[in-house]
Amino acid sequence: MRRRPRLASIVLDLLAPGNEALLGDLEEEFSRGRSTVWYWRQVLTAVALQGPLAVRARGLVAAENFVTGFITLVMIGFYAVFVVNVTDWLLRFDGGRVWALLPNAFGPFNGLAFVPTFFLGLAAGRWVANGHRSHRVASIITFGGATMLCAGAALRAVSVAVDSPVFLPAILSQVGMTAAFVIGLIGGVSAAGFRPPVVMLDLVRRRA
Amino acid sequence: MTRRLLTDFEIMILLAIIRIGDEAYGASIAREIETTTGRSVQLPSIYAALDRLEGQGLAESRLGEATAQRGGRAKKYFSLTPIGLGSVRDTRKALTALWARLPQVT
Repeated sequence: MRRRPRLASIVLDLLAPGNEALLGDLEEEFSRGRSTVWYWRQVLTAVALQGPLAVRARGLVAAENFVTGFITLVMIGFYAVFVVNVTDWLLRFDGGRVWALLPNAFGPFNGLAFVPTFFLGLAAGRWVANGHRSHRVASIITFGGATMLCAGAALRAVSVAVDSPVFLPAILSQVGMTAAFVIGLIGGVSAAGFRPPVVMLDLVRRRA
Repeated sequence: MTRRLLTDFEIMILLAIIRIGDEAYGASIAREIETTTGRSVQLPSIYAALDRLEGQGLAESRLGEATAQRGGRAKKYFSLTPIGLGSVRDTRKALTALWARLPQVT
């Protein structure tokens, strides 16, 4: 007996959930001799049709979820860069009055700056998840403010990095820290049981 | 729920359901359309159309048995409601009227 394309089934289950009957039909047809290409074509069609189906099923609620979900995700991206820039700046800052006593926040462990950044992401993720549920407007306004600050911080970081002889290490450090923050953010969001309000993931097994 | 004229794809699906009878589910409907008309159809498109028809009260569904061949997933059987049957008749009547007195295409 041929094995069905497992990845295609996973894609269908993730991007077009709640299609048990369709999945069964695909398996049945595949066992009757349909090709792998045919199977993938059906899965991609199902995924493409899922968006309009969700909008039709939920109407305005789906549209609202799509818009707020999109805005939130974009802002999370900006927020991540902002937090990373600020954290990076604080950890490396060694000239201010207060920090003069603490030339480097972590001293010899400064290279481990991604660790607190990760936990910061974790905390932010939980906050975002909970805030989006109960204080949707407040969380979006906050993210909006963070976005403004982020734009300034990012511009400043880039302008400093361009003039620096260590441009590449500086950028790589930023990328690493951003990755640590985003992974933490996703972890925090998941820990809070947050379901992304994107339309394609939001057709909550309506037919189940 | 009101009767309405059906699109070509919808009428094909509903006629296939009538032709198959009690065993009409996604895959069997697709096979029936393909063998009868020679037109290739996508299974998700059939389910999308049936979802819409069900929402409009033209079709109804029930879950059937789960088999090993289907990975333990149940079949979803479809049938026409009286409104759906009425829509099929209305559509045929409209198309037949349009077809009348057109010797060049008969």
